[in-house]
Amino acid sequence: MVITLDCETIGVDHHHPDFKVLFNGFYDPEDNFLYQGPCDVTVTTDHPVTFIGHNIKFDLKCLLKQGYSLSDNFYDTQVAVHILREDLDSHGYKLENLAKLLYQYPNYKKMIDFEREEYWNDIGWLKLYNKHDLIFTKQLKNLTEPALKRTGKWALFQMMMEYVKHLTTLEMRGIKIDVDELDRQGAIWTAKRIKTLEELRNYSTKLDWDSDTSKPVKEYFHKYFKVPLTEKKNIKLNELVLKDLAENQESKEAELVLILRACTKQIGTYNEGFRSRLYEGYYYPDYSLISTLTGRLSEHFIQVMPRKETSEFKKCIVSKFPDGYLLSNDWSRLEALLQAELVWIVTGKHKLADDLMSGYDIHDATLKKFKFLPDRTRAKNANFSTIFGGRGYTLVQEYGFTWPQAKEFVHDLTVIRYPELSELFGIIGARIINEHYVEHPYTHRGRHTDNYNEGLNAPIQGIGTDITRL
Amino acid sequence: MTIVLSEKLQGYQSHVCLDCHDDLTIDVHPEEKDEVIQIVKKEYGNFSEHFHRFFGVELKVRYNAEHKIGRNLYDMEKIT
Repeated sequence: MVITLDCETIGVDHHHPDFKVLFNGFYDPEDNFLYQGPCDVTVTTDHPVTFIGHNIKFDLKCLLKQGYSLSDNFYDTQVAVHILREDLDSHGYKLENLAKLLYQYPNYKKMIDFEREEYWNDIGWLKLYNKHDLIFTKQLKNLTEPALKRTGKWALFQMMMEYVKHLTTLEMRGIKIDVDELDRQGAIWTAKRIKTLEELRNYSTKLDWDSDTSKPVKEYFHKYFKVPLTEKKNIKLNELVLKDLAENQESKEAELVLILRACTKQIGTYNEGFRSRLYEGYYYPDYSLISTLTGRLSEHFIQVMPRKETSEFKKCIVSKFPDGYLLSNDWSRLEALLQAELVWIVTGKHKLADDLMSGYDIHDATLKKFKFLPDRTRAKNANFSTIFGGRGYTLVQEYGFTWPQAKEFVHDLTVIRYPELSELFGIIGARIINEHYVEHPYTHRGRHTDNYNEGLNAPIQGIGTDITRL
Repeated sequence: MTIVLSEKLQGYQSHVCLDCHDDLTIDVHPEEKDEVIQIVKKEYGNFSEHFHRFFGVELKVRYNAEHKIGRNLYDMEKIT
């Protein structure tokens, strides 16, 4: 039995104390619209139910909040469209925009003024809106299912639906936050920010310095340190530029602005960010499945959490069990191995895979061969940049190579040591030019692109994301 | 490995709690610690089989994972 589902709520987070389901809208196989109040859903059938929804995770959480357990079968039309067309902007995946794009239907959301307070009480309008959502969700299911099967993406979609089920449960459980530790970390970083700001103001009185990314700050560095302009003639003042100024031009301002930026990020993301969505000691993540081209998840604060031990705010994330533990599991060299696998299946050659699997230290070999490289870390960065299709720009701009050195390096790695890399880049490059599209041969997650670098990286980023989901 | 580990940990109090970058974190009940570590290491080791189950493809390369455990997400020790 297939039922299209769309729950209407008052628009706050599922775990917010004011959260309320206004009604559950259903569209059954006999084309009947059913509107049922919260805690009043009666989907009784002897057959298993497949729920179809657009961003169904939202609706499943509404059902769970009303005391239902999850059925095993879902079809999320938003995920289906994203797999088929990953290149729409995030608003493009909204139902009313897809209805306009695919069926030339007027934007029915504009029939309702969502800013009006009465909107939430105007059940007549809401039902009309909900009915349009249900109709287009059903139409999208009919449109996308054959397309997913025809393009070989059905297995990927099915995996995604299993993932959505578990992700929904994970979001509903939440993550335990040690609020005392959060307070402590917040106080440390706030004090550090105040001290750094004071130091900056004492060092140079030319600016207020309160906003570390403002136009006056950029103009200051452009004027006094000749920082470069971007292609669009904006002043480039990213972390790398600031680090370079601090290290090579001994700019105390750059050193302090770097600290200030780190403080702002830590305070904004964790202290204020976590706190804004914290309910009774738990942070409830709300992952978006369609916000990135690669299929990677995005989330307000979780996905911007630095990797490894770079942020002591991670101390706030604890087990919910007394005396419990957190067990963290991370793939080793995942992207490098995936690239080696891709090289192998596309070209049939596997020296890179053999070397990586055998533990042969390709970074050490690089370090020995190119004497100007200062250390193994730089050799590793340069190797990976090149293995993933870099043609020297990053080596020059970020790792201090001259152009002749960069050219020699890329030639050595991709032609002499691992010629299969050149072969792979050639095959993918031709596909980008001819078809404006690339995909991973295993999962068929794809990318519509004309950009060479983006196209070379897309298959690895895509499969790397999907692997962590299995 | 969210799907596989969520399935394998059914019936346990321990559960997957965080999906961040390539890193998957499990909230472990203290009485289940050793058993959960064993399950997790085994399933990561069986990754090729899991991939085959979903995509019908035999992977050619061996993939390995690093496992760390601690009282919070910052103070963690590598499990050998």
